[in-house]
Amino acid sequence: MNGRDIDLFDKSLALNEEVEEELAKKSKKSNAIIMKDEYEQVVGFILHRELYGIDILDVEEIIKPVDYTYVPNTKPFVMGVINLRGKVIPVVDLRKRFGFMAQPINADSRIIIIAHNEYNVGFLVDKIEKVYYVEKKSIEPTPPNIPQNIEKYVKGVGKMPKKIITLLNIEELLKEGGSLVSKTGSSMEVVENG
Amino acid sequence: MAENMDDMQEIIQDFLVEADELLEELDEDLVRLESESDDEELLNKIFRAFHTIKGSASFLGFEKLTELTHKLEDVLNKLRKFELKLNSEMMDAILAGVDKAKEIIELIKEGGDPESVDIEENVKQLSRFLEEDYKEGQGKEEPQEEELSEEEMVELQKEEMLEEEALLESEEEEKKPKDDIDAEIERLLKQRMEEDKEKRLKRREKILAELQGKGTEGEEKQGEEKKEEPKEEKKEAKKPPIQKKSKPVVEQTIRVDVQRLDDLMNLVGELVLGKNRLVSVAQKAEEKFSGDEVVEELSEVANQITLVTTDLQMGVMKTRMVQIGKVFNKFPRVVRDIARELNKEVELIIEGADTELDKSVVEEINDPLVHIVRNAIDHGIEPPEERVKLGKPRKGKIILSAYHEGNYIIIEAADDGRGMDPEKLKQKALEKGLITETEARQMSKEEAYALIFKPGFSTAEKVTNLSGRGVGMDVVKTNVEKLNGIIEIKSEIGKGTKVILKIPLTLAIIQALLVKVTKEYFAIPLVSVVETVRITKDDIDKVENKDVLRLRENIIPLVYLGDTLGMGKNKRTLDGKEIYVVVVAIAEKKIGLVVDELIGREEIVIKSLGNYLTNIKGISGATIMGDGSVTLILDVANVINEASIISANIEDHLIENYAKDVPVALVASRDITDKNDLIDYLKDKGYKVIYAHTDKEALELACEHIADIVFIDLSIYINDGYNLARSLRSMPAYKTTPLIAVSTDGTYDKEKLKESRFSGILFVPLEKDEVYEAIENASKRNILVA
Repeated sequence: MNGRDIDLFDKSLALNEEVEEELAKKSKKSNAIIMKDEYEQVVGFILHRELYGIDILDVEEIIKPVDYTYVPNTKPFVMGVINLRGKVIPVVDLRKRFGFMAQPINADSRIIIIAHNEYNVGFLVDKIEKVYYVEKKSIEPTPPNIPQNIEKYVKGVGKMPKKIITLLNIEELLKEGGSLVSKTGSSMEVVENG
Repeated sequence: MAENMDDMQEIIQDFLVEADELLEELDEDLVRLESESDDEELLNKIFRAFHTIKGSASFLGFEKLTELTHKLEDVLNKLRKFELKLNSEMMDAILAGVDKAKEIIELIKEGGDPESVDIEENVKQLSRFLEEDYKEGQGKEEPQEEELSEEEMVELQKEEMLEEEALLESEEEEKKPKDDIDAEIERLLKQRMEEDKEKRLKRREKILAELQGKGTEGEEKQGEEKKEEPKEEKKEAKKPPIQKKSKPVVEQTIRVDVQRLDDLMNLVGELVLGKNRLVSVAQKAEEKFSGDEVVEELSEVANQITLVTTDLQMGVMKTRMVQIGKVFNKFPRVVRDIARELNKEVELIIEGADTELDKSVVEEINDPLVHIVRNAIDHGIEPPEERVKLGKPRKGKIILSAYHEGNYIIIEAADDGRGMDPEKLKQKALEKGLITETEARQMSKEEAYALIFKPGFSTAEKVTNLSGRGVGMDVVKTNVEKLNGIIEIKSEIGKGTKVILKIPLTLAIIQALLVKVTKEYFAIPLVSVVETVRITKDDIDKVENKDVLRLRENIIPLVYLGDTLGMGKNKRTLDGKEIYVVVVAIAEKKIGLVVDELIGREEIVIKSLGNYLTNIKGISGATIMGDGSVTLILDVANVINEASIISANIEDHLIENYAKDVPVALVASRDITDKNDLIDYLKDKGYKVIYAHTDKEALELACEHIADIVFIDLSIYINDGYNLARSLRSMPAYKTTPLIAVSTDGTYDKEKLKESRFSGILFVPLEKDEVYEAIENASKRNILVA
């Protein structure tokens, strides 16, 4: 399983470059608008040996793991908050979020800073690949072999030459928030009710 | 045309702002008028206020408002000419009229139909004073409707028009002049002038007709009018100074969008963070290269920036400051109304109305104060007869005062009423089932007073429509909590009650006390901190199996801060010989928070945690420290409430209560192949080995298990091993524990090793003998140190 993945991966990288070349040729010939229309640009990253993608428009930047501050009373997958140039941004361990086995931070670990609507959140991932151009017509609805716990957060699966990429639904991922719903009921709520 | 509509909308907006201000002042002035009914200056001021509103209202076509203010203006005109004498009936009618005007203005604001308001009753009431037979004992007969002299009228109108023109011009400047707007405005102004003229003519005709019908009386009146002319000239002579008084205000102040000020405040907040960082870098540089010229220059710059930033921060804060008088000035009216309704006699004394505080705070403080004052009049101040019997002055006294104390504003509301009886309060709370017998017995005087803030508590024998429903004081508590303020009550039976509110001046940048709990740092807003004390485990008492601290005459509940935040489980970080307690208070509650370490005081800028992490229990926000790290700000109110629920005890967190049968070794390392060898060697030596991949994990484990030896990979994520060692050394349990560095690539920084107080170093690949030797050496060295 492991070996095959890496094998596929290397080839696909090369293939992807071919796609890019083709795109470059295309854009020279006609205008870039066609390219934009037909392809979706996604940031590809590895999580638990699988390739995932996030729409590039939702990605603000990618940083190396930095020191973070633990926030009490948050869901277990919330690592804490970081300081990104004066902004306080929560960081989510995407492995834990999807219920995969936790993996300690290593040299490849990266945090993808997401800016989606009014949300600003960082996702800790195993490794960043690169920006892929996924042909829109190749994107298919979520296949049944996607684990149930993450199915909800998957927008679709993009088929690239010899490689597939699971595209994440950011909206759905962020919607639930990271605060722990209090068991005791916060006192403030009680006051409001009374 | 659409643009014209917009312009009209803007004119209406300006009118609303102006009217609000005028009406607010009116309230205050009218109440003052009650006691100083012959103050000509004051009468003129009130008259002018009505006149201005009437003018603008008629210009904008608010008919009902025009009619109402016109009537008010007429009554005031009579008053200012001393043709009528003010009595309480008249005052009530005028105040009712003002209220109605406010109602109409509110309706306009909300986009409702201002003509739908029923003003008939008010107009009828007011008209009565204008009738001829309403003037008992005043002898003279005056015209039904005393008009302003033509000159005065023109004068006033000119003034208004100039103002309006100025206003319109300034708008045009922004919007680039447009001829059609100009024309439209001119047309409107002309139209208005004509309308006014017409009205005036009509009125004059009416008066003349009446005068003719009354024959001789009319002659008398004419004579009087003549007599009055010089009087009016005098008034006109007096006018210029008043104009001078009001004009500079227009020139020297500008209205600024609050949003802009907020943005500015945010930027200054960023600047403060930057400054904090610069100062910390300068300090580091000084430590490292002391004596260097460039470093000295850097320190100098840092100092200068600190000074300028502080000034700038003060400056911006000041632009947001408003006088508390804005709130206080409503109170003469409030007190008057409540007192009248309850048949009590109350005198209100206001002190320190010029004390300034942040606009956002002012907005929140009004409601609590109204409730406190209501409560004081309703429950505190006795009826006049009772007061006389008690030998107190007939009139009760309420003193509202404000003053600054450091970064806080203190607002006090004191009455000289019956005071509060703690026993009676307890009894009442018991009856209502708000507290238990035991709780009641243990309650201090202050705690008993605080009972009035409990929802559902009311001591009033009967429920009045003002207070006694037991909701009011609850509002006080909620609002003050929102502002991170403290409420204190002092009371003496028979002498009166004093409610003291201590509120931070501003909400964006605050002073905070930094504390450490387990491996985390937290900022506690200093306004909530009463004091900090150092105790030993023997100072902790138990009440019903809960920890308490006897501090002077008070008994304060004691909890470990980590437990209130749900992160205290299995953490053993407290040294029984040195326990630090931060006594915090919010609103009326007080509690002692046990922390691992007190770090110090710092100025912090409050930042939100964003949309993803909202309403986190115990945390109100975050701030960025000088070193760039994020520190969370405690929501003290929430922590205090949480504290009453948790069952964990302080002794669960004492290092000395950690029981273990075998020595423990903590290995903190990246995923390296040699780590397994190391673990095996340690196991062979009889150690129980716990393993951490990152520094965060290592610190967490170090709080849960008290390790006897620690191996640290110097290249561990996220910060390096040196930093991990330094953090461990700052924990009471690891002051002398052997810390052995492991270098995976053969490199190390000798200086840093010393600074982080490592006990030894090993290099990969690890040999069994070397490891055992290192353990032995490190242990020996620690014996030497000890």
